[in-house]
Amino acid sequence: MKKRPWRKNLYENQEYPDNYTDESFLKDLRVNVHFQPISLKDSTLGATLIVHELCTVIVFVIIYVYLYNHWSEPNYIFSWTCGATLFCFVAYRTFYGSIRTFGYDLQTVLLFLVFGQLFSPILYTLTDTISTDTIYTMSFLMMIVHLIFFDYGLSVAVVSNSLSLSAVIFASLCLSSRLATPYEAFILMTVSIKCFVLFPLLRNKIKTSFLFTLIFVILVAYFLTTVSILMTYIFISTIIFINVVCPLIFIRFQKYKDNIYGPWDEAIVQSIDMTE
Amino acid sequence: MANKMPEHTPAPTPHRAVYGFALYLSFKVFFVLYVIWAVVPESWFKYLNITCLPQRYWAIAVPIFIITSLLIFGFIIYPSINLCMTPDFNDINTITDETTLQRKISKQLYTITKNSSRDCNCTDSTKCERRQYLKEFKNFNDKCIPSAEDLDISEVSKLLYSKNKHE
Repeated sequence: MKKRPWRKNLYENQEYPDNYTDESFLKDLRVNVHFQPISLKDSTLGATLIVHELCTVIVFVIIYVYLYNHWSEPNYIFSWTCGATLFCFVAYRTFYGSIRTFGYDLQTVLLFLVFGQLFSPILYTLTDTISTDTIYTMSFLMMIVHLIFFDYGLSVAVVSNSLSLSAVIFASLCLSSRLATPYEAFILMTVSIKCFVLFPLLRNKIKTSFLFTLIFVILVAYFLTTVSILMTYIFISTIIFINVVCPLIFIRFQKYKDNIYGPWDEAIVQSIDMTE
Repeated sequence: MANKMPEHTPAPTPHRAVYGFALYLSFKVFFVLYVIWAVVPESWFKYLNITCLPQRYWAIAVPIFIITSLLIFGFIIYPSINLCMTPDFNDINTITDETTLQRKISKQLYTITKNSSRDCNCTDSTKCERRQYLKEFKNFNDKCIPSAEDLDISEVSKLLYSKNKHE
């Protein structure tokens, strides 16, 4: 008796063994449909975005260390950061935005300054009773959370701007309770807003480049040497790892990419036309 | 094409690949850091002025706690929940009465649909698919996956253990 031809249908192949397949079984299998090879330059430029955010976090911590150890006058730090922010704000509004919103911006700044001054004694005593080691560990973890969920410009479900901002504000709140006076705590909160709210807005507009990254990293490394030489070594090796080694590994690993696509994939609605 | 996909699709996208790579690398890095924290003597850290690390007790305690709770949940709590949910032989839930969802309920629906005198509100009767639907309904109903319904215990036993399954 001649067998009927095998078909890919569970209930139709009574004469064939259960594990039987023929060459038509995987004819719809396709591999790496959406694969776009990424060049070394692109992947290194992408890695600089992470370096920028890491450097921003370190700048914030350096300012905290300066305030904590009284290495610098609080007013001096406040006026310098405010001057830098003003300069960046003018540049941002001149090149990328309209001047018309200036009144609104001024209102926001005033609101923040007044409420920051008013509430800094409360915020400053909020985590006062927690031990310093716990505060540092918690701040470290929150900054890790900030770096993980920060928006690096890729559309992925894990990215959450609100979570990353809340985490880092929480970290700066924790750190501010270690300072001597409420005024210093207020300065630290202001610096954290500048670093983590305003600076990413500016960096989004500036197209990332190797020159900007290099200047930024050298500046941060210079100020880090005044805090700790060991940390500077760790910082530089981390930057080299993120910005040189990781892109190289990424390029090398692209050849192992093996995404399979086929009729078993979930349906994607392309267009619905009910009139036909 | 990739950016037209809904956000939470499990399909691989180029951006997700980058995050997957980052996850892969960071897990390796965090594992190395964890091992360093767990193995290197504390005096070395003190020499480097790193004093804010948690006690090394937690390097062992947290993984053991997680594994123990997984074991207890998987081998004791979860089977116990299943056993608690199984009704007794003389439980009220095992008794069949007139409110039980019997099989062939969809065939009754077919009969109701066929016998209803109400016309459909199609403007163009040539394009109306009601007749076609009624013709196909029985065929469709026999082939499709049946809806949820109570199974009679005697019927199940008959199918599973009886020698003549079609009696």
